[in-house]
Amino acid sequence: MFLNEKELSIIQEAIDNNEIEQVDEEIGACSECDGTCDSYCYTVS
Amino acid sequence: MYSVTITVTEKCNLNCVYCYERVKSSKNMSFETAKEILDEVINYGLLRYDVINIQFFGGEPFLNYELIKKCVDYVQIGFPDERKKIRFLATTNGTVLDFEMKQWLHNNRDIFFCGLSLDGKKTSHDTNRSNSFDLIDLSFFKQNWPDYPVKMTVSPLTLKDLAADVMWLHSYGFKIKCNFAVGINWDNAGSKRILEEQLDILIEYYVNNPSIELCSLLNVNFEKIVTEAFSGDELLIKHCGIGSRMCAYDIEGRKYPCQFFCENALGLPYDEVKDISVNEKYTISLCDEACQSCALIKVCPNCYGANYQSFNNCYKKDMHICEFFKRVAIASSTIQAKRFIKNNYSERRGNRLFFKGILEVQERLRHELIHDYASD
Repeated sequence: MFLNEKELSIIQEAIDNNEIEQVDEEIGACSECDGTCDSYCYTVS
Repeated sequence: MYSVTITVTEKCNLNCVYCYERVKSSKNMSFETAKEILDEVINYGLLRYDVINIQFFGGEPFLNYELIKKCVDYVQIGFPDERKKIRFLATTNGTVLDFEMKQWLHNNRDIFFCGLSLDGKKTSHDTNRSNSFDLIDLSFFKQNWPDYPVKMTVSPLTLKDLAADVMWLHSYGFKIKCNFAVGINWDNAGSKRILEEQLDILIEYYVNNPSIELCSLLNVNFEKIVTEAFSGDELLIKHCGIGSRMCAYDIEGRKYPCQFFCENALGLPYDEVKDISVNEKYTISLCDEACQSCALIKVCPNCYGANYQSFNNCYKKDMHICEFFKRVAIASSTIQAKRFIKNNYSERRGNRLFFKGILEVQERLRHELIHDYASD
């Protein structure tokens, strides 16, 4: 289930070398909730 | 967004294994009660929010289809200038939709989103949901709301098929809103190992199919771990809109913080629960001691209603779900990191903090879960 050492290094290197930009965008689950709720959310798109 | 849940009926034609509603009856909400609620919530919501979601709930909501239709017509006619701000939703078991209902839903598909509860392939769905798979017209939902996910619930009976169920739903073209059943007994030896096996299969599947949107269970926002940890803040942000951006009404028209607290769900008297609230931000000290030092506390799924149903305490979590989520978080971080690497950095190019969060979770949970393996 875990990343191996090489994969961890690649990610760390990409962060250190500024190869990953910091951009404001919606990532992951909608910020309105965590998806646990039984209610349906219209913000899913 | 203001989310209002209206229980239009307590009737249900199924008996799902994880249903948290303790009371089923033949009661329906009256149109008079519904009108009062709609007037109240829309007038309140329009002053404060950009969007109002009105969700019809049950039981099985379409067992009171006539009321749903009347409510939608009432709002469309009564608030003609606000139509764009008001949306209608329902989650259905899909088994009672006749031709007329389908026609009406099709005609209103742009204002009424009808989500389907679908727990995976036939065997899993039938196990969880009263052998109802063959009664559902899957293509109807796919055609009318192609971009909206089905709601998949995982129970102790179907955990062993989690991966197969997710893959089957994706193969049909569905996106997936997926979570573990809450408020039920997950005390089953071997569940953690079963989940890990399933997650290993899903890691490979999602990495090899990068164009498929992750099911919600595996779509963890790792940026939150890093940004909020850096703030040094000991306050947690409420996970949902319970009691503020969200409310629910039972068939008598009584208002609750969310649908989990309704009398037919919780089985507790209205006066005992009507004033329960969770602050927008609350101190970590309200949480279990084990949670307070957890790497995932900022992103851990939390159903305050389910917590209250199980423990009479909104902040106390089911620790089985806690153990599940640690494993889910690792799998999610592994998938998203591997996709990023495999696609030569083109995926997720936009968020350095997100990947910092991934590294933090991998480091902190590796140590904890490895000890967990050793103690088994």
